[in-house]
Amino acid sequence: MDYTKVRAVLDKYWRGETSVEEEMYLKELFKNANDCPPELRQEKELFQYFRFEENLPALNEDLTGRLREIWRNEPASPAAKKVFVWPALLKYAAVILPLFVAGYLALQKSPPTEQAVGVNDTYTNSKQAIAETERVLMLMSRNMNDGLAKTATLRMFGAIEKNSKARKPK
Amino acid sequence: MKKIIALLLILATKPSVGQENAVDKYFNDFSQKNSLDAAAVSSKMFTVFLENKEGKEKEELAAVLKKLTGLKVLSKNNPKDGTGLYNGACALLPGAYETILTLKETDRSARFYTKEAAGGKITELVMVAFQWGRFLIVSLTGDIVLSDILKLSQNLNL
Repeated sequence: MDYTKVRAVLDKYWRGETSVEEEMYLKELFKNANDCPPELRQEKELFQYFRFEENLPALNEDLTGRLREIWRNEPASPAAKKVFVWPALLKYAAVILPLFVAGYLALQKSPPTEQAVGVNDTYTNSKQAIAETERVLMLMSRNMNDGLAKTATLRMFGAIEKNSKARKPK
Repeated sequence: MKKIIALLLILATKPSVGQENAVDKYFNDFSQKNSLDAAAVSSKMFTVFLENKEGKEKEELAAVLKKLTGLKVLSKNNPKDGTGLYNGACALLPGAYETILTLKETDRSARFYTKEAAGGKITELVMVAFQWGRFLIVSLTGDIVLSDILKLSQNLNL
């Protein structure tokens, strides 16, 4: 076969100047070209591939709908698991941190101290504090005495009542 | 490691010591809220009371004072609502304090409480009073013998 004309058409093909009929000519030519010269082997494989693709069945029109259904019904992928880099340290911190806070708060309380005279702004000197203390103690004692005196009166009335009941004729 | 943590937890939750009287324990907020005046006297100052006393009076007073460990007082002169303060203070003391005496008169209201330790020994005597224009909360701590307290008003000569 004389491939001179074929080479000329191929040149037009690579320049993008071939017509549809010329491209069909090249496809038919290379379809059964057993004696194709070596320098045209690549073009032969190319046009045979084009032919192969033409013979592939067309995409099913329902495919898009099926893919859409599959996409909708596909279960959600599990959330990505977060990985803490230093979990061991966090575990100890959760135990140790409250202890530090409790210890700090405990240290904030002032230690108990015994005051010789504990005075706030009320007294200007110790004599005044002592005098006030005496009055307070006396007040306590007086109130207790007065209260007991009243209960003594009640006890007296109770004794009188008891005696009167004992003297009643049976 | 576990034993150390457990020990630290126990120490962290141990109740603080030092608040051994009702005034410190139950009346802090009450005192601040009502702007009460506060005073505290230790047992060391009680010996000062004896400096000007003589004879039997001194002996009886010493017998009483040496058993006391402290005195704390909250007070307010001429409060707006003395009766309200009195009732409010009485309500703050818990059941551990036993009411031993209540005095109610026209111009005087007073209530005494005691706190006992094991064996029936009285370790604290508390008085809440509103009388003669003054509101008082008094706490006496130590080895309290009520009969000795009654003697105080006989020995203190103002």
